[in-house]
Amino acid sequence: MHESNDRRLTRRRIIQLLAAAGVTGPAALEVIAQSKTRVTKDILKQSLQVIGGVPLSDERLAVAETALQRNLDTFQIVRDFVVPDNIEPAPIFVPTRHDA
Amino acid sequence: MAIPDLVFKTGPELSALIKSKQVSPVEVTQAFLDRVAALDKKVNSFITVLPDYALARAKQAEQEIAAGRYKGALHGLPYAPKDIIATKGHKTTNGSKVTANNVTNYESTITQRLNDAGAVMIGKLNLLEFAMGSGVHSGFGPARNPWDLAYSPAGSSSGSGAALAAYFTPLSIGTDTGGSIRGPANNCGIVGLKQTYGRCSRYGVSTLSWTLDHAGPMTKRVADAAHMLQAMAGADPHDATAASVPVPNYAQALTQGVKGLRIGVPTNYFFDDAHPETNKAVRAAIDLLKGQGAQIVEVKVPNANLAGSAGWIIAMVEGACYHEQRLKNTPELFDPVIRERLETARFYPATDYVKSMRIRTILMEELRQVFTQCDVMAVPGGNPAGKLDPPETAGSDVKPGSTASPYRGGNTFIGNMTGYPAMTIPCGFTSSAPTLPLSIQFYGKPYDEAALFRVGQAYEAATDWHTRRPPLSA
Repeated sequence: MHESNDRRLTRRRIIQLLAAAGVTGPAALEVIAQSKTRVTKDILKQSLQVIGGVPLSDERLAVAETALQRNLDTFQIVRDFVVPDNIEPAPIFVPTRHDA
Repeated sequence: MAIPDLVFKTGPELSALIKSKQVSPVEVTQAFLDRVAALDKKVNSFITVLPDYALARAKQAEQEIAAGRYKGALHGLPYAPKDIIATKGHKTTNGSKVTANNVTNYESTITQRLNDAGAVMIGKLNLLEFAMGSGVHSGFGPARNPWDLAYSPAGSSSGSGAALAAYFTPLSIGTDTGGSIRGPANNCGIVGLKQTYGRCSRYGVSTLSWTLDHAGPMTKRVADAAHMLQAMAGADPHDATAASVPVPNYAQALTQGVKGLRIGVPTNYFFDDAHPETNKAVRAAIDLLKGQGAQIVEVKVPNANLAGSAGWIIAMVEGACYHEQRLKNTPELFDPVIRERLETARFYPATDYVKSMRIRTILMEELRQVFTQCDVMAVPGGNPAGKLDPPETAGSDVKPGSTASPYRGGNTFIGNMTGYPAMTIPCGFTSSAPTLPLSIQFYGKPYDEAALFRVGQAYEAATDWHTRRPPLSA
C-alpha cells in the first residue's frame, strides 16, 4: 500500500501555505499562476517539429495553447505524485482474479 | 391487455408474458417502436430506428417460441445498442459526422450473442461523438434527459440512458471508458453495469481507449442486467482481452439477499464532493442494506484522487493515437471539443502516460487490499444531472470563468483504471424541482459481478425508485 503524497509541495499544499501566511483568494491564485510554466503557441509550434504527425495551423495552435495549459494544470496532481521505483506500468492490462 | 401498457412492464414481466405466449414478441416490439415514434422527437435518443428489421426479428422469435424453442429471458425482448457498436448491415455512426455513413459488414460479438439469445434490436442509440464529445455539434444533436428535457442525460452513453428512462427500450448496451455507462445511469435513474475488464469482448466496439474501454448492459432493472451479462460474457477469439473465466449463473445471485455480505464504505475521497441529497440518499441506502443483514465496514483507497486525472491522460493519449488518421484527413468533421482534446493530447509527454499506467498498478493494489475487507464497496453514483451545455460553450473544455482543478471523475474512473466491476442503480430523487434521479454505485471484486447483482437486486426489491416515470408526453 502506498501512502498519498499530500504533504509534498503540491498546488493544494502551496495554497494552504499561502493561506497560512495570510495570502488567500485571487492573490493566492495569482502567485500560483506566476509560478507555473506557461504554454505558448511558439512552444507548441517548435514542439510540433519533433512530434510530427497531425499538422496544426496557427489557429489550431491557439486553441491547443489554452486547452493544453488547462489540462496540464489538472494533470499536476499526477506529476506531483511520486511513484515508488518498484511499481511497473500495466502495459498489458489484465486484472488479476481476486481469488487467483 | 392494452398494448401501451407493455412498455411499462419490467423485463422479467415481459419475459414471463412472452414465455407463456400471453403476448407475442411482435406486440412487444411494436409497442416500443410506437412509443419511440411518438416521443423520441423530444428526447433524441435514437440515431437509427429499424422498424422493419425489428419486426422481422420479432416475428422470427414468435415462431421459435410457438415451435417450443424458447431460448430464455431475453427471447423476444427489444434492445438498442449505443451506436458505436458494430451491427452487420446497419449504420454504425459513432455519433459522428466523420463516420455518419459507415455501414459495418460485421457484427460485434456482444450484439451477436444477444441476437443468438433471441433479443430483438429495434435501433441504435445516440451518444457523445466517438464516446468522448459533447454531442451538441456531432451532427445528430444531443440526447435529452427525459426527467427534464433541459437537463443532460450525461454521456457518453447518453442515448442509452435517455431511451431507457423514457421507456423506449427495456435493454441497451453502453460503453464505459471513464464512467460512460454509469454516468447516464446516474442522471437518468436506470441501471448501468460496467463489468470486469475482460468479462465481455470488445470486438466490434469502436475504440476510445484500448485499455479502459468496456461495453456493458444498461437496463431498467437489475435482473435485466444480469440476464444480459449472462448472454454477453465470455471468451472470444476476436478479442484477446476477453478472458476465459467461467461465467456463473447470475440468476442465482438475484435471490441470495445481502445477509452476511460485507459492504465497504470509503472514508476518503468518494463522498467528498457529493451533493447533500446524494450523500443522504446513498447513506440511507447503505443503512437499508445494513437492516437486511449486510455488514458495513469502513475502507480507504489512499490514492483514489489520482484516478480521474491519470485516467483522463490515458484515455486521451490512446484516443489521439486511435484517431490519428481521421484527425489528419477530416479534422473539420469532428465535434470541436473532440478535436480540441485529440489535438491537445498530442502534446502530452509519454512520461505522463507511462506514469499514469504506473498509477494504475498502484490503484489496482489498493483495491485488492480493500476487497480483502469487504465483498462490495458502496459509493455515490454521481451528483444530480446538470443542464445541457449550450452550443456556444459546448465546443471547448475551456469554459469562461472556470479554473483548472484535478479532474473529478474518480468515483467512476477508478473502475476503468483497475478493471474492477461496478454497477450504478437508482437510490432516490432530488426533493425540489426539477425532480432528478440520485444513485448509488457498487464496486465488486474482479469477475464477481454476481455480488453486484446480489446487492443491487436486494436494494431494488426493497425500494420503488425504479418504478417512477418521467413526465414525458406527446
